Amino acid sequence: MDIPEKLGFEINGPGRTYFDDVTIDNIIDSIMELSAAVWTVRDRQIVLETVLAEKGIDVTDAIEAYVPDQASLDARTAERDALAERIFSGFLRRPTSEAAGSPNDPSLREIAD
Amino acid sequence: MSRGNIGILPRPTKLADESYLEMVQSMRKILIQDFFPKVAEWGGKAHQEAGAPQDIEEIKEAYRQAPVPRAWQRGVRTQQEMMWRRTRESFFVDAEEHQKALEAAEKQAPERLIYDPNFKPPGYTRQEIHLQPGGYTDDPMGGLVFHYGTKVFYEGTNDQDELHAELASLMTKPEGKLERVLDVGCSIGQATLKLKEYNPEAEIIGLDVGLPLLRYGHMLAVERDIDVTFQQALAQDTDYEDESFDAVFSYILFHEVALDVIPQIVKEMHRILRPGGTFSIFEFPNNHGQTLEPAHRFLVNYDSLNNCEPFSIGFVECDFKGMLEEAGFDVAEGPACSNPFLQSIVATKR
Repeated sequence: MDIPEKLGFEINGPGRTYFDDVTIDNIIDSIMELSAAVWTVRDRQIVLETVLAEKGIDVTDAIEAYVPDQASLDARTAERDALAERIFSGFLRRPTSEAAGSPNDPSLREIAD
Repeated sequence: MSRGNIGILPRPTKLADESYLEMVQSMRKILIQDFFPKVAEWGGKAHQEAGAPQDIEEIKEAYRQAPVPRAWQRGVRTQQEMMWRRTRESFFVDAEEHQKALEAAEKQAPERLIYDPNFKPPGYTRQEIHLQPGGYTDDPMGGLVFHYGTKVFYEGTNDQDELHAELASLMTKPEGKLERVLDVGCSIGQATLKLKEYNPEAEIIGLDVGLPLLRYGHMLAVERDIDVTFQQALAQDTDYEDESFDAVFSYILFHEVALDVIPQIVKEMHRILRPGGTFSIFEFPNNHGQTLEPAHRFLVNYDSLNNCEPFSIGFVECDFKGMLEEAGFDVAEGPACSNPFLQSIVATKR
């Protein structure tokens, strides 16, 4: 019996939109996928720590007890801040629609010699 | 490598799939339990401000004026697509092994799975109900995919068939003998198996149009050594003898069939029941006589159009009890169950 790998015109079709601006639909889709992806990583981490503990390696306590040196802390802070900035940069760049350019704005700027 | 089962529930083939789908389940739980009351509240306010219209299109338009219903609609649609997509992808990995298991069960107990290989399900039965890829009829993996997918749908409250067990226990027994029971629209047989557990002396038959569902249900019955029979047929054309059943049970069948087919099924169930036989029905509520709240009608309308329930609007608006009475049943309210959404009817053949 042949079983198609891909099946379903509902889940594989063009989908539906509920907002006047489809971008909002797409952002919500992204957030939901991101949520599931974050949990998938977190869940694996929990399982990993549990498996290691069962093998006699109590990495959970070791992780909690771990004290990084200043260089490591600085590097992690910089990486974390950069991630936060990337995630929220749109809200800072365009806090209101008035603050943003229009698709009809000319992109040719006058540049002094 | 098989990851085993979760009790009687199949386990996704990878941890990542299981984690992902559990998160989808958590999102669904929030959307249904926490978010929908906000939809009803804010949509209801907009509905009142619009003059409380009763026409469903005007109710929908009023609800659209509040942003919360649209975000809810987006979320519910997306979680449903995520659920089916990942469920099927996960179990497809073991598709070949699963087919072998289905075939082995058929060889072991062929007399307990009755179907005609040449039977072609009519088009209305081949819809992708609930967005399930291939629907109930067109995906050989459909039974397994349905089983795990509905785990997410029930938000984890039916992992071990708890609701099916409750409903089967609430089946109204007829006066006199109870020797033969039909579970019409039995799907993967979750209630069918429970009906046998609660009525061990009776012959229990599960009937459905979806062969992939029946093959899966049959495999579960063989694995658990439960003596029930599954048969593929249309509910309005069963070919059983007149008055050959003492009781019929159905769970959420009627809102999934075309409106013109509903009275045909009712008539057929009346024909195959003996006088005094009971028909226990757990189903979507009806709006006949405008008894449902606007938020409820908004929900059912959304579900019909966006969760591929193409016939549910027709069912909800129809005079279902009137159809039962016209067919020759005495209609009464059935025993209430823990799911407040469902109506419970017991129809007794006069």
